[in-house]
Amino acid sequence: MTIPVTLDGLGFVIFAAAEGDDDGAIVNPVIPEIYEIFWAALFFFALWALMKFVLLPPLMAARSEREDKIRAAKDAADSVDADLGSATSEYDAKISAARDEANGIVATAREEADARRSEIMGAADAEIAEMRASADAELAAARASALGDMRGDVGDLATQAAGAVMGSPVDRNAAQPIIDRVLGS
Amino acid sequence: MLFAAEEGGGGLAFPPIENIVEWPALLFEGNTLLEFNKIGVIHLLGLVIPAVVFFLAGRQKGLVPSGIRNVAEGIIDFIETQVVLPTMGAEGMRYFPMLISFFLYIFIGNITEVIPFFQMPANARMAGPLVLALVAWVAFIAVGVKHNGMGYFKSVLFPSGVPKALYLLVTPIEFLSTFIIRPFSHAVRLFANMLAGHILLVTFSVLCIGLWALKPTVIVEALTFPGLMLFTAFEIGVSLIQAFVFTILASVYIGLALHPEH
Repeated sequence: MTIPVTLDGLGFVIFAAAEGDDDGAIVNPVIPEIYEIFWAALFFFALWALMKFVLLPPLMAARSEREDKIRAAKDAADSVDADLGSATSEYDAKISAARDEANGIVATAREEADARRSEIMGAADAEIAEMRASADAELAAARASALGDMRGDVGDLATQAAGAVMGSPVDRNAAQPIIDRVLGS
Repeated sequence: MLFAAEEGGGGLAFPPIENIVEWPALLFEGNTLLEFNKIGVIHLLGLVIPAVVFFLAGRQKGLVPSGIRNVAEGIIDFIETQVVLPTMGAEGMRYFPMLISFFLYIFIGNITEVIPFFQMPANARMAGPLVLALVAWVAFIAVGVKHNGMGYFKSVLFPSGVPKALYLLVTPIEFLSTFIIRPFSHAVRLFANMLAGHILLVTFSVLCIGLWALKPTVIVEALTFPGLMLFTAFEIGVSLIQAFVFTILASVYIGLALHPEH
């Protein structure tokens, strides 16, 4: 295959090409050149040695140190977490105990308050009953007094009325039993 | 490519394979051992870039990473959690420097495929993958012998639970697959993938340039250039995946050598 072509634009590919052997011999690309083996081996062993003894140790040490610090920080965090769990449990237990104690105090206070209230209510009831009895007694006495007064007045009035009707005075003492019977005493 | 165009008398021909994978010497030309070319530069970058990144990252103080240290620690985390721990567990961390070196060295050797002025994956040459596969091969055999003594070879070549008569068949297969084919396939997998990707990108580049020159075919260009962009993006993914695959296979091989009974 041959295509007519100018050399314009070939410049960048020139770097990808190389000169063939001067003697025109066909080169087998699979057969390695001794000097290429030499340089390849030299530079590879140099890289390997540098990596092993110079380049990798500080980086691996830094990684190791970082991993140790991360591990230590993680362990510390786990420890703090465990402490936190323990403190939380302790706190919960204290809160629970305080709550129980508060409930006990409230219950005792309530019982005491109930007892006191019952006592006060009992005393008040007794006082009220006493006052009521006293008032009843005074009321009965006032009523009896009023009834006695009324009975005398009504007797006098009735005796005078009866004397006026009959035209002669009526003996008050003789009429007293009748007056009492009428008044139902 | 330029060579091909000129040779064709102004016509465009696909360049021969040696033109896209072989590079002229930059230093020590002609020296069999020390000749240094673009592939050597890429391998050098495979050493320098990770070294600079990890060095700057390592200089940062404090426990909280930022900037370039995030990059370095991200790579470390990736290799640790995605390669070492799933294949070997915590005891595999002693091989971590080798495995992270594999990953970074290969990745940089691959990604230059799509970087302007390089546009060549170093691992599209057999030398790099071969060296790394041989290192992995020696490593897993050494680990096997260190942890299991010579019993390692026995447990690999004579797997338990297999009827003795079948050892005639199983033992040669295990020997070939574990000690001969494994390093070869380990190297070729990386090499072939990167070479294929490089050829693909060069092919699309040549097509784009050729069709750009032929003005009436601008409609076809509208298809080939997006194709080149698409394959470039695809090769970025391939670069990363191949580095990961090579590294995790090395890790698996070492893990199997640690506990061959598994």
